[in-house]
Amino acid sequence: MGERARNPVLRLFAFTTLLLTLTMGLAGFYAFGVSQRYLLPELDLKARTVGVAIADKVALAQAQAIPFDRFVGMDEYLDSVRQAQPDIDYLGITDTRGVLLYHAGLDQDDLRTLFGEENARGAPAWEDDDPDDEGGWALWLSQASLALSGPPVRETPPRGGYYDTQVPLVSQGQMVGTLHIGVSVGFYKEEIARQATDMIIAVVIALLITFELLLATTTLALSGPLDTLVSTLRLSTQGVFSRPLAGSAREIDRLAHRAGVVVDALLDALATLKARLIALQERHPERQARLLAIDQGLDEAVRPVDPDKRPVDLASVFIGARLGAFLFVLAEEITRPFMPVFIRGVAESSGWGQSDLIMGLPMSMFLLVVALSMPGVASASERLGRRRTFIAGAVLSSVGLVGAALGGGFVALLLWRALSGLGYAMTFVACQGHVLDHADPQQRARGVALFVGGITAADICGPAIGGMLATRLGFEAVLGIGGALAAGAALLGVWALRGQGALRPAPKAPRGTMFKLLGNGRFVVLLLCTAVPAKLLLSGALFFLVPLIATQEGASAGEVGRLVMVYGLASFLLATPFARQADRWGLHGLAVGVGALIAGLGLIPMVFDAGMPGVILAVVGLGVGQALSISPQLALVMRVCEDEVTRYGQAPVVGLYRLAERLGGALGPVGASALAAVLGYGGAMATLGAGAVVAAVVFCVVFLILGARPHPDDQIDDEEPLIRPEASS
Amino acid sequence: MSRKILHGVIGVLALLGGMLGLALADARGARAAEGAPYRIFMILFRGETEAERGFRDYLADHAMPAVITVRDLDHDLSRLPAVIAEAKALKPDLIYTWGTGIAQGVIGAYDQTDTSATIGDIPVLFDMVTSPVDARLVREMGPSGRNITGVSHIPPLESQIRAMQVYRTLTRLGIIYNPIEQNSASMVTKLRTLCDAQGIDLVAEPVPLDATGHPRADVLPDLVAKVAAREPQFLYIGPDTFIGENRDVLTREAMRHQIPVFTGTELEIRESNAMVGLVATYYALGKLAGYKAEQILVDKVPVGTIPVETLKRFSYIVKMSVARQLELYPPMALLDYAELIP
Repeated sequence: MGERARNPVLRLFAFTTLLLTLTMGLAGFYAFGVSQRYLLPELDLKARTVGVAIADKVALAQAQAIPFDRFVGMDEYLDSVRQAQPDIDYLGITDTRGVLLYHAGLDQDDLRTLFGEENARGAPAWEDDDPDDEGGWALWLSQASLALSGPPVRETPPRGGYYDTQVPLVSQGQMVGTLHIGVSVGFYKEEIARQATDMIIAVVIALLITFELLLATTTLALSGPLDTLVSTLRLSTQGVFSRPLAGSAREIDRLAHRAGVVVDALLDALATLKARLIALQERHPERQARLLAIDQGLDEAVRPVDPDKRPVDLASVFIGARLGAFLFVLAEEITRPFMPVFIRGVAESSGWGQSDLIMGLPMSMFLLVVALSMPGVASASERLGRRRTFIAGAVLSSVGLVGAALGGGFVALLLWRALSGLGYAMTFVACQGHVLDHADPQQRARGVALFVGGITAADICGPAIGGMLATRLGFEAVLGIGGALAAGAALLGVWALRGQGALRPAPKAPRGTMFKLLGNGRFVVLLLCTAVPAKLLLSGALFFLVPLIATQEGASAGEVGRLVMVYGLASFLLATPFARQADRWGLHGLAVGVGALIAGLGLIPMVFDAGMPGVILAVVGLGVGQALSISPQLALVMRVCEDEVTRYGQAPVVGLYRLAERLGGALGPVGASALAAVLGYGGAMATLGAGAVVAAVVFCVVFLILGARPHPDDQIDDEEPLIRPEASS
Repeated sequence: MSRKILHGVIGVLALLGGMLGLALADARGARAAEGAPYRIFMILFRGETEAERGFRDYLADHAMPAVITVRDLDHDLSRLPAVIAEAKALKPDLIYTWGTGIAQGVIGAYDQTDTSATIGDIPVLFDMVTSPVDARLVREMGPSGRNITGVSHIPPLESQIRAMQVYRTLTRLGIIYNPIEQNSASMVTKLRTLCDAQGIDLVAEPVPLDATGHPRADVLPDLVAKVAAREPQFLYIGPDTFIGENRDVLTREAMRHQIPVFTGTELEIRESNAMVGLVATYYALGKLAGYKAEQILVDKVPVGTIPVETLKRFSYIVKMSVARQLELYPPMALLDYAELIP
């Protein structure tokens, strides 16, 4: 019956999703088509800009009365222009009779053949090409999109595989020759593929975000309150009457109100009935036995509700936390692809540019504030209330991001990042607390999973969309958008984090417990050799060095974003199956060791100036390795600290573990920038990798010798939030 | 909260900055108020040049009040002792000299024992000295350790060779020089070392001397013809006073033989017919000297610690009329930074 009751909402949800997918897909496709219409003119315009600079030079030489066919060093000059504009394949200058005088990129004979074909209008070059070659799908997509958006603004067929842009060379009002600028069809295809990838990612991300919002709105406004109402009514069929909670949509509210009136009327009638029973008992004491039986019967049939068992709209609680988490993490994640580059820019413009040493400071500052403020913020949120903590945190985050966008130099940036860090810690703790306050231990795992799901979605969407926006709008604008998102999270928090939960303060371990935990040698090795290095690699290599190296290699912020997204995707796709296998085989130690090794090894090729392929390898290695090791790591902690968990409870163990992770994360950017100051970015990356490998080997050796103390049941019950600390930036 | 701190920090910094600015303004004001404008004694060889214009412009741009007394020797070094005596009597705040000869007379060689004829107690700033080291004014470029500093105007020989190579491939270089000029002789030695290192064939012809031991100007056309016969890519004119005086003959003859002239000094290209030059402009040199005067007079930097140096950047000049006549057009890349003069 339950499934059936949900059906309409589910169907509505499915239909909306389908509709959205279709419309957004079409909109994306149409936008792609429009960009395709103007692609060729745009390439032409770019070539023309280069051409004008060369034409100016020619005019200058002509003004000095240097004969047009006697230019010295023209080929070398053209070649230097071509070096600076890698998308240009050739440059050639012909005189008015079409004789090739100067050239670069292609040799003389090739160009003569090419220009000799002046009158032979060929078909588009790709039609002669092997249809299976690279970019084929994008070309197909491009052609298809053009069918929707209209024909290209300009259709110049390429000649011999090149688009030839011609710029007249004029001296004293007279045409002296023509400059030919050639862009290969291959480059054009690459450009199409790049735009197509952009479009697909944009649509997918837009869908993911819409899905998040849709899920949240449907649950909060519709299915959550409806389910709760149904549960309440279902209870009343068993004779347990309680007034349904007010929902949020007006119709559900009205329904709940009506049901409430009925419940009230019933309870009133019951009271009247009982009063009459008592009156009857007084008047007819001889029938007391029968009347008592009736009274008992009534009590059995209709019971007032036990306040603890009153149906709670848990779905709304969980989804509210998920939405909050999604938005505030998204606000930070969209700055991910360019944050280190942005910091370097700020440092340079405020005169700190010489020192790579300090580049990591702002990012480390953020992470350090998150790590250190968590415990204080947790108890503060218990006093302040989760919703207020969330709103305050989101506002602080927003102010910090907007402040960073407004500039003010390096020191100001440090302060703004610290402020955002505090906000991040507050929102994180508030969302987590919101889930835990409302959920019974049995339901917590589901709540936490939903909450973490929101974070993962933001991890994947954020960098890609942030990068794309940054390429088009600039870093400051994206920081501003981040600030707006955080402000939006604050507004949504007012509505989404509703519901009065029983405040369940985190159990406080006696002071000094943490130090006692450090007496467990295995635990310390686990912390130092896996927990700390894992987060150090994540923040130092992925968040700090990867954007810097990739930018140096010529990647746009959009491409960096996609690169960082790979890590999020890997952990999204692989973490759960890996964890399941590790649980199944009980091989947590092995999974942790192998994962850490893979993550570290992937970085080492960077020592050989591996360029973009090296960076991609590093990110994939990091993603796969950490997907393998992160979940089993916590399981291993529980196993290693079995005695301590029995003695002090799970909280201090998990607390110390998370603290170690966060401190490792805070160390990442400063450590990486200090290394980069000495070894360069690639060297720093490889050194981090080598360090991680050494730590992983030490871990493996220690655990091979000491063993991890096998335990028949390594399932952990949810005493404490086992929330992946997403705190990062 | 953090915002408050930030504003506080910014406020304090602004306050400190303001106080520093006031203090500095005060100091400068105090110097100006201290008394009369700075007294500068200028000893020139051939009247005021662009260098002096640069020097004066620098002082004016930096609001340095100065009274400049000019003594022009008008090409006659024998007048120098009298001018030195006058300077000693006047005791100006700074003596400015133009050219190698005057600088040598005023300062003396660094290892000279008899210093009675030179000036030691007044700071001397020399300008337009070809090679302060060869002129024995200083042991090496950089701080002199003496009460002198100055500005040299010849780009390093390495840069000059590179400048020629930018224009055309260089395998043979010709030079005609006055063997009795110390500057020239040592320059040729250095040039030979550099050319040997780069596999460039140096054709060096000393100008023969007449009976009185002076170089003969009348044989210059023959010398040019002799060098031209070896077909060098450039005929080089260095800091050589005799050749400089005969620049018109030399460049004219070189053009007749289709050999372009490269120069390291400005006059040979601006006022004669050298085709290419890498030169320090007199005006820029004068400004550099002005900066040093400011360091000495206003900032009270000890003179001996102020480096003797030349400009960091030079002007690449192409005389287009000559280039066109010889049909040796500048490479396209040069058009970006060369100064093309008619």
